[in-house]
Amino acid sequence: MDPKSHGKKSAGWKQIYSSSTIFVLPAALLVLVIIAYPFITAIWIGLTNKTVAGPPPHFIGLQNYFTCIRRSDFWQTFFNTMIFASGTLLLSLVLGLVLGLALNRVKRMRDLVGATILLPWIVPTVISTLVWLWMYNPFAGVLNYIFTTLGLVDQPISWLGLPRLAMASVIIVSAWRNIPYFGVIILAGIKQIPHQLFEASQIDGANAFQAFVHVTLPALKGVLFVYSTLVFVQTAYDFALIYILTRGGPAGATEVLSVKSFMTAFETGQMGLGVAIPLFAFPLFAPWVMIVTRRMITQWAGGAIQ
Amino acid sequence: MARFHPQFKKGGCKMKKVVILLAAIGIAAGLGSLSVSLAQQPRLGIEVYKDNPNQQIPTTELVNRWAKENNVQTDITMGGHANRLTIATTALEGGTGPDILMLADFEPNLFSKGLLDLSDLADKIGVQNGGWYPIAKEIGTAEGQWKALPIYIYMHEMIYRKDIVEAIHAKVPQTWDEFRAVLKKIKDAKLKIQPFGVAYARSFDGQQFLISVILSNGGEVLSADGKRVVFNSPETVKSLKYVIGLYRQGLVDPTVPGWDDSTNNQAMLSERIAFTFNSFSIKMASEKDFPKLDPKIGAAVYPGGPKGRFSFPFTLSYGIRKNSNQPELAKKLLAYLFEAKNYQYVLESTAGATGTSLKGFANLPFWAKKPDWKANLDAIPTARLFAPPSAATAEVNNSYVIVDMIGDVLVGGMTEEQAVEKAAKRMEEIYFGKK
Repeated sequence: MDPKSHGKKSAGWKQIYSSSTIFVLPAALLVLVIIAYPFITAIWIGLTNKTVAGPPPHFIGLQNYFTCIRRSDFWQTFFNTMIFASGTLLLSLVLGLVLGLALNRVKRMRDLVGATILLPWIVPTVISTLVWLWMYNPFAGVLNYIFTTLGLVDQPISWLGLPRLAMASVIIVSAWRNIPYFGVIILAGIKQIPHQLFEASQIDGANAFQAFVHVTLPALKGVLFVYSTLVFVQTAYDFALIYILTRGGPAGATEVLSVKSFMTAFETGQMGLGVAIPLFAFPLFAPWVMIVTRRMITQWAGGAIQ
Repeated sequence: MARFHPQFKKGGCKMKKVVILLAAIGIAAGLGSLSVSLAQQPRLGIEVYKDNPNQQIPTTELVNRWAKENNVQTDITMGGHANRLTIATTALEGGTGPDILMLADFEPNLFSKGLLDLSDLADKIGVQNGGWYPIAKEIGTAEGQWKALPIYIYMHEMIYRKDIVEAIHAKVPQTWDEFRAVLKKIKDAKLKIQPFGVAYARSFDGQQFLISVILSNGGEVLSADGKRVVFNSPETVKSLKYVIGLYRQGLVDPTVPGWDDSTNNQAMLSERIAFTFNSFSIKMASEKDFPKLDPKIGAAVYPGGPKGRFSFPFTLSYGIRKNSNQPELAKKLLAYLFEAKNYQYVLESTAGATGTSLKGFANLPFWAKKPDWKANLDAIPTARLFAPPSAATAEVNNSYVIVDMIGDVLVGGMTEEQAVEKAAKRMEEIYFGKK
């Protein structure tokens, strides 16, 4: 190879590389300002004794985290968060799968049906949750009206007043919001499965259930993994839904990390401790999210997520 | 139609341009002078609280009048239950937003480091208006300084159906024993109404009710010197047993474990319950929207126990942030809002629903006009906090540590003793960081 031409080539690459850096730089700076700065600030605040309008904060290391662990109610809050997020995910996943498969069967006005089904996901959380709060109302709510009118129960059910029922009730509302999202994502995933695979399974004598188990599910594995992670993390940090429905009651049975964080940081002014509460779950979520992100980047680079 | 010579038309076009130019210069000059005059005007931000009694209407009017008289540009921020805390914390932390903030309950103490010392102003207002009620002083002061000026004291009261009490030939209960007896009579009369209902769940109404019972029985959160948690006492256990007993004896609506702060309002206005404990919002709603029901609804001071009658109120106070650019102007506006004629104007506009923090307003003639509304005034001397204001007290209150005891017993399967022990343990963690 002519050394001169090699030199030209590398100079060209250098030029392309430097110009691509320049093009990416504004976006990278924006990400730094919007995401990295608040996140790093939050981590820093969690390591200080900062209070609202208080004296200048001091670095106190991991003391806020130890305070969290020592408090008798913290672990209940932590497990509530995990139950809330897992319950939401499970229900959303199963019913979302059913919805996605059903949508796949719809032949007419699929776009209209799809858009209509997405409504729960589009409506602002505060509004839809307030409607659910009214539906769960012990004596004026529509659910108890139906149940008592049909003679299914003698006394109105206290949907948000009994610990397990309250947790189930908030999970139902949370899943209700996520099911359409899952349904549409799964529908998109199904559409990407080559129809030859279904034809081949039919030729091999597979029935509909076997085709679902051996063709559809494996093909959707990637999509389900990615979106399940996103929904789990998003639900674990959901604040408005539980704050509106139960404020974490009865007796802390539905109190999750985000609600506890808000109460501590804003209602009692202990900003450092309040920030530390949700960050406690961060080491658990971070590796999982990193795997998903890596998978998304590599697979998007190579085509659709499989 | 007049016809113009083309040359004139041409000249007219020029004229038109000149007129447009002059108009533009005029507008620019006008805007310039306006901006100069606005720039010369000092700017002051105030948060006005918007709530049921519509006190924001007379308050806004007063602020605007003061601004005009003093040539000040005021920025009014409407704060309510949902956004008040966000406005306060943002202003205190960021140094932006209203100079005068509306602070609730323990917040003057909680945010005291970021608030201006208003002691001189508070003393002056107190002297001019017959003195502050003790609850106002307790709420407004931190470390010996007035950090906020309490303006609205929303008392928590016993709201009841007069017609039901009459129907069972009973009197308005004055003690907790009488209260239980009246509820039992209502139940025994087999009227189509639940005797009593208030949230037996995470709510401020439920917590305020339970705290009142505990305080009237002699239960306390902290020792007199404030160095120990003394909540786990026979008096507290007795109080919790009383409240749970009402439920187990069928004197309370069976659905109360699922209620929130608004459910008892709905239950009272839909004629489902005969008694509840609430702020005055139920009476205001009945007067406005339920004219047939309104005369049947009465309001009275909480029943009492061996230690007296106590009610845990909701309070709102004006504070000035320390980082304000206009501290003196802000003080001047507060002094104006607390002038006797102006305070009286707000009180009368809300018919006394907001209550008062100054004793001098207790003798105004308007209190006599509506006997039921006078409960807002009569209840003020019974106002008491469950512990001295502090960040820890705020956490106990806002984390529902006290009302959670009901849930622990009713749906968590604990005994009353265990629930009190658990709450006391949490209080030790919150107050003293104990394990």
